Amino acid sequence: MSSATPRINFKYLSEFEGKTIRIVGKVGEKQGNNVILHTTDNGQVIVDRSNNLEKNYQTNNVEVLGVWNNNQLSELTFFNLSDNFDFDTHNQMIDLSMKHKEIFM
Amino acid sequence: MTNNPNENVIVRTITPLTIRQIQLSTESEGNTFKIDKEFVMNVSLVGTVIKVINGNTYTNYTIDDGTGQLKIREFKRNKQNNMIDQEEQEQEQEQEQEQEQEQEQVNEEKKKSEQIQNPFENKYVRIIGNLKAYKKQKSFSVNKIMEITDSNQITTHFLEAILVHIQRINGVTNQGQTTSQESQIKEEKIEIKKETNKNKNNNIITQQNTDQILGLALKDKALRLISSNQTSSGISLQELSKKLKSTEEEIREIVDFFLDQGQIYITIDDEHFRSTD
Repeated sequence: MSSATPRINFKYLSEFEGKTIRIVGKVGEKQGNNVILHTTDNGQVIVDRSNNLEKNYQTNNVEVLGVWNNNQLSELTFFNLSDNFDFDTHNQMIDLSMKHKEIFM
Repeated sequence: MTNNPNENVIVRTITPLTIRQIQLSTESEGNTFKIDKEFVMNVSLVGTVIKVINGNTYTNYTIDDGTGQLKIREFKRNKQNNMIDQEEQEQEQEQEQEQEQEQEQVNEEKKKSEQIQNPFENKYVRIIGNLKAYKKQKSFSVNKIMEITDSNQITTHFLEAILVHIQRINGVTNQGQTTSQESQIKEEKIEIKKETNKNKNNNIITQQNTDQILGLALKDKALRLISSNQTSSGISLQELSKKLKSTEEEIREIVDFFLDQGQIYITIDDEHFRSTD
């Protein structure tokens, strides 16, 4: 997998324990240093923002890059996404990318 | 599209790829690469800029698209000295390679202390460029880099990359979609005849005869005229209009199209053009 940071959604998280991944979601409620991310396939991911607290999400939709461990995503960085971001299409793209891993990982 | 490496093949389409595909590509004859058994030259990528190094004549970006990381180079334009010739740039590249690590450290410190930031750093960008071999290594030269403002372009790019990949591995000859909105883009294989190869040094008469024989459309004739001009200032809009017997407006539309595709670039002013090939 080398330097790949695969784009996944909630249902594929279990395959990437301990790995650095990217996940897109709508920003939900804050719980201390954590934020709930509502993923494109209607899952909920706890994002630990302890390492990146000085930067705030600027939009409602974000892509978070972090390490998935023990049911929590430790954020390394994030990217703001536009408000018109199409969750359904992105979700289908992720499913297709998992069927064609040879060009993604 | 032929798989015969001995034919001089020019691929006009822009292929949407992932960085992983570029990493897996195999070098073919004539400085080109093959991906999914097809020749690839003009490439589009979408990813985030994670590092920027400014050189005197170029800017190096490190791009991460989630499938891997790739260093790409955008050559700068110096209007006072006209377009910096790509060969000169490659020579400068050799000289500056040793200083790159030191420059990187200086830039990091500068960035921290003065908070100077390239506008693309840590942002999603779309890149159109050329994949070439340089000293047996993959080299990606940027024709255009643009910040992505509609994030759906990220999804669209990867869907296009998947589509083209599936089409090629299933042996479909159509190379798939390009990222351009122009509906006129089609894949062509242009066979450059031996006589044209021998007379590549601005033999316009041979070029025109070859055009007549091949019966190419106005757009292709324009590109061939631009490509055949080897002067540093390139060919002018007026000269193209005269030679192709078309209005300047028609020629302007054509050159704007090729500029957007990254197949030509502006030299001394916005009425002089050279090919990026």
